[in-house]
Amino acid sequence: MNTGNYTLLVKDLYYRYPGRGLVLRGLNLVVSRGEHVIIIGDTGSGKTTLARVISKTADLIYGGEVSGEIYLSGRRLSDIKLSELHKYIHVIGQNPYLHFTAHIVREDLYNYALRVTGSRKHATRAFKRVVEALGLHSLLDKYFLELSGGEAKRVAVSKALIPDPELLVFDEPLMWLDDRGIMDFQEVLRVLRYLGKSVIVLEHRFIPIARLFDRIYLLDNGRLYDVTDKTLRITRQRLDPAVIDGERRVREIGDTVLRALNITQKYNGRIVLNNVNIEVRRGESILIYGLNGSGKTTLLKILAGYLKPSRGRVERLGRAIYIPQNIPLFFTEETIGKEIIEICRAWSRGSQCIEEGLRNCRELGLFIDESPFTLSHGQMVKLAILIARLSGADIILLDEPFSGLTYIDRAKLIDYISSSNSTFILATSNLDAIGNSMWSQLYVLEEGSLKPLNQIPTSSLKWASIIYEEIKRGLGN
Amino acid sequence: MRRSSVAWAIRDFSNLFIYSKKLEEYSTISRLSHASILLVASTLTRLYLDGVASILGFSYITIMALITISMFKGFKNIVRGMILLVFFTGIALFTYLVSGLLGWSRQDPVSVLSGTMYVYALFTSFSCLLQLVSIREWGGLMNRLGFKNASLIMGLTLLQTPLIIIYTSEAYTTIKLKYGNKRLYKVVTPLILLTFYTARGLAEAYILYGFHVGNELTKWSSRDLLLYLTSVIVLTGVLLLILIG
Repeated sequence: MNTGNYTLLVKDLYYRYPGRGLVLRGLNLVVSRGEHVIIIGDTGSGKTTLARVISKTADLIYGGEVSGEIYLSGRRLSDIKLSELHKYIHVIGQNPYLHFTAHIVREDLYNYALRVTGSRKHATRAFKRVVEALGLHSLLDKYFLELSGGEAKRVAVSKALIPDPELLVFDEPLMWLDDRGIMDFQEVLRVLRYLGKSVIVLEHRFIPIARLFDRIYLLDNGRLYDVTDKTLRITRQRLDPAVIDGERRVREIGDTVLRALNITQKYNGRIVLNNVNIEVRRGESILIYGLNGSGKTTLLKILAGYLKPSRGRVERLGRAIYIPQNIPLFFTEETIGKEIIEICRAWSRGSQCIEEGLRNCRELGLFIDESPFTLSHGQMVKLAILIARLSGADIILLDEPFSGLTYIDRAKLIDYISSSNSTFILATSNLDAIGNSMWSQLYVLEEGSLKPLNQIPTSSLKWASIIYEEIKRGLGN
Repeated sequence: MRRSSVAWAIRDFSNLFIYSKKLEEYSTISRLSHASILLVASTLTRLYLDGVASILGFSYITIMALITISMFKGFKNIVRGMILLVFFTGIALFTYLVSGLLGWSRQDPVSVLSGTMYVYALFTSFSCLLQLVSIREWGGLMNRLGFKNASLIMGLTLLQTPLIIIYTSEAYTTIKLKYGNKRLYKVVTPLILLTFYTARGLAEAYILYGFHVGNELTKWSSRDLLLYLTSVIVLTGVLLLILIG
């Protein structure tokens, strides 16, 4: 095989992190010039590891053993110096805010251009080229902390394009993006196609973007399987929404536990929430949909009693607990067992609470000696809900619990919430979480106003998870 | 302070670690020398003034530092950023004064107030160094002094400090609602872990992008005169106070 014909050629790749089992087991991958490839797979299947291995960071930062052959545009990866790697490959990681090496976007991009090109003239040219290509003019004078997830991702892509690499790798690009951000990303892919770049996207939420790729692979058990035809065929099928969502579960709805009246919230002179009203009854599960920056988190914190609104009042007939999007911030102990003990002690819930907590952990498949910080995102959310219930909180507020979860894990989380008798208020920025019959009230938060969401989308989370199960079926046999 | 405001005060505090967008209007040398003069003035006041004169000196330096920063970043931003510091020093001041009145402390109120104002003067002057000099310029300066590795570490640290402070605000909210008021110290555990993850992510970014250290430090801009004039006013004011006091 002539390695020079391909942007990326990976042959029999094996990788293990120090002291752990194999993550990649004889992986093979070929990406031609200008080809766009998406790799889907479960959380922990090795997608991020693959990105780290082909960009050398697995070796340089994480250590571990690599075997197999990797060629970038015909050159063996081990022969490429670190200082020239950016001409071949660029990885845009999950957290776009970590790509910045200066506080202001303009400075960040220009400094990098200067570093790569070595001269002001060429740096200015490269800077202008990427700013034009991705339409960044309005973002240039912002601090990177002021950017939304989608904007930060766009800047990260522009930065990656400065050295004009052959191959761009996106690790979970849809994470942290709302529905508008996803459309932005689709546009970015079109621009990259126009520029003739090879692209690898590692993503488990593939349905909104699958049709934009030449090849679709599934990473399972450390190996890649070509599932292009199968995926495109299945995603074209229309399934009966009634079958997908199943029967509506009857929840016991009790008395009013929270009432928010005419809530208005201002921040920095801007109206974040405008005359918001909501009534929550015990046992209800309420979903609030809104794009990033629409004020969902602020509303949740007001409902929790943490923020005091500028105007209006919240009548709370019970205690609320808040589970943040950045889920590791919720945990404070080194083991799951200690988390259970601490929460029961903090709220004087007695030994029965501890016994119940430990029993529930076993039912969820969690080991009490394991650290909560090493759990997968989905398990973390489930553990956080369990802890919230053990604390005796009357209302559980979940802020973007789905980000980072596969379709199957999302559906499982919905089932878990649905099977619980607690009162939930959940905020999300993705419509694909909505098409489910478990929600007793659905709202959209738009321009500060909270309105009932009357049109429920037909594509549901359950539908997506069925598709994913179907794609996985029969592989590796 | 309203309990909800603590998280926002922490978030706004992160502003004090982010350099201004208007740096290019003044030269590196003028900005750096102004911030340094504020620090020198604070030290001189500490060494040569005491009693009410020291309170006056520190207040003067603090006000001048705030004026300078607001020239670059706007008055509102600075006031909001300072709320957290005012909150904590306010608590400390109140505790000392009450304990003094009850006879538990031998510190006289004037020296307690002087100590508090010293904290403000030192903090605002130090904050000037971070807000008036960009990370790239710091890197360039340290590089010229021969501290190449240190400039890299310092640059990456300064870069992510605001992000960690924002995480602190989020963790504070979460833990307060999880445990109530009893176990707020537990905020530390998730923060240490997130700092570790952030550091690892930064290491990956460093491998991908490297870190640009600018050697080109600007020496003169027509607007520098204003900054030099302010520096002279600061230093003259403090020297006059020393002579009189």
